Amino acid sequence: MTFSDARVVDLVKRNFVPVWESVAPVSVAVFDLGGGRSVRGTMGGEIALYFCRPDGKVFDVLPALHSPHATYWAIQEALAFYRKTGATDEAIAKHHRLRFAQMQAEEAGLPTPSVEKWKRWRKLKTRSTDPGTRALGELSYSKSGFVMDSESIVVIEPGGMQLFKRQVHQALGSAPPKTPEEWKRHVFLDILDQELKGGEFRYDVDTLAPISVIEED
Amino acid sequence: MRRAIGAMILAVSACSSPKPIDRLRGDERTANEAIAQFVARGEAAIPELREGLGDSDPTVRRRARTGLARITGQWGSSDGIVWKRSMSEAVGKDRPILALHLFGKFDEEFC
Repeated sequence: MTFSDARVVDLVKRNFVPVWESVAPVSVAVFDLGGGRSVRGTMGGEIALYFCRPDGKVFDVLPALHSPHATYWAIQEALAFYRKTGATDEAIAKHHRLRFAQMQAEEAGLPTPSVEKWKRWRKLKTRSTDPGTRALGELSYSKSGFVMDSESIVVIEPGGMQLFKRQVHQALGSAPPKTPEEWKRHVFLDILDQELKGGEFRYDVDTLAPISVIEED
Repeated sequence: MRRAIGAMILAVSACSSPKPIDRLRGDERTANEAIAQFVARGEAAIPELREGLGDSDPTVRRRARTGLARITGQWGSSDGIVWKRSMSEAVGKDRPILALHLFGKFDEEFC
């Protein structure tokens, strides 16, 4: 919905050259139930928005999908920075070092207890040695695809803006400007904790291992 | 008289040839050809394809949506952003670039 939101669309159309690139195929898990029956689940991965100068060098990054409102203001902020400074190499480094220092001083963008709990839960769900069970675990916390009246929608849970931005400021403040392609691995693997792989995987339901359904605090 | 007959034949043939959007009702091959023609026309074809989104036939709606997605670069978009498909197409313009990295393809369902 974010890139169909009228405010976001208008802002992007008036001020940016928009481009998308695929980092990997979507993951599709197919569970073979036998007798010709199967269940398919689509695991949408994370996304990242890179704000780049016209030469393609990144001056800011918004990792993960956020609400249209949050995305709109992130784009506005990036645009204001670009207009004010031209996003020179020096301005980019100075801006991100300053922001990172501010967040450090305010202890902002650190994982909260609920984030830490979620990470433990996620590790628990994916700890199984059985790949089919791991896929089921991933399905339960990834973006979920639904079909309603022949129209498909994707439901996601936005969040983590401050957590991700702290890591973005740290990275962009300590490295020379790079292209989105050069930042890709750091953004997806280190910041978003998302492997850059996808494709169709088939599992036999008879191989699924039991998983823990009782959470521990 | 001959000129009048010629004009009548032209008028009749214009009336009988289906509108491009009507070809989306045809068989798979006809519809795919029609979609390719819409895509070749680019953004100029968007208003016509948008009409197809309101069609009573879900197959026509889906095909219109496919055509729109191929033109705009975004599945489900009919009047929004027109995306480029690679950084090489985007650099060197007089504007900053907004680059979206994602899994799958943004112009396909369930990207």
